[in-house]
Amino acid sequence: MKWLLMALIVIPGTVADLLNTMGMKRNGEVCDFRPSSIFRLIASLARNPYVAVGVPAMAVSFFALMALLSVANLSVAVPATAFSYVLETVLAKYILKERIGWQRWVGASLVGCGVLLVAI
Amino acid sequence: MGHGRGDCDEPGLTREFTARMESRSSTATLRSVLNNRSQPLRLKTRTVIVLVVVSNVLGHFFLSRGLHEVGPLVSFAPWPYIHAFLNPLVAAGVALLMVWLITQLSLLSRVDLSYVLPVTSISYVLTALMGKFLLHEPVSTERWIGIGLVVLGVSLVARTVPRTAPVLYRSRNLPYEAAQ
Repeated sequence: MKWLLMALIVIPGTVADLLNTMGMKRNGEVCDFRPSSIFRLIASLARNPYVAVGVPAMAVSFFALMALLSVANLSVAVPATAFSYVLETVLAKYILKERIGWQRWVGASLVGCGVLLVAI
Repeated sequence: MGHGRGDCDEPGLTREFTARMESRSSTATLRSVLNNRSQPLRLKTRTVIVLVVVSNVLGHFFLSRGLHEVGPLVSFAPWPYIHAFLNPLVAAGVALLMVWLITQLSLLSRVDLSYVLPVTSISYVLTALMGKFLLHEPVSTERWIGIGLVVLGVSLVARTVPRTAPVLYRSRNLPYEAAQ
């Protein structure tokens, strides 16, 4: 049960971040934050296939985390999210074609270790 | 395809301003271009990051306090969830998390995922500090070391160029670009 929930946190969470990034890069930079423009943005995102799958995947990951927290304590739940920092950096390099220098590799690893310690 | 800084540039405004300068328009006209009422509300990437972090921390804080008041939710029926929304803390938490979703997506439209994830993780530090100073929860040595590592990691990543991913399309939510 715990392993299933952990997989339901990491896999949809990672997929959601990748899809949302792809979808938002295709949408173009969001520059105008007036309420009317934000409503137009939401309307256009509802028709964006990447975001339309990414946001529900994010919700699956969120509810799986809530479920895991209700049956196990934080020290079981958080290592999964800490691990995803490094995993997503690797995927950002190969799938999103982001250029990742040593500062980002070291930074993401430090953040992952830090999050692990903060949660315990 | 180019590599942007992730800060929206201002082609429309700059172009109009330069054109007016070259045609030697009066100072009043130039000022009216700058004070144009239909100007979009632009936010710097740095401001968007602050909004993402603050809405995330406060959203989760209100949601967890509110759900604590409501009691456990273990049901597949919709009624208990609708009932939970009537709690003002839960409603505030959900509203803030909606702000988080929109600002997070806006941030991803402008900068790299491998920049956003580590930098916004400063929210873990804020949550821990809020627990210490508002709720007077003790912070263990391990947690202080963790906070230090997160801060170090964030400051390393924050020094990199925010956007290296190719720019596929220019902004679609700027009013005057659509008109050009």
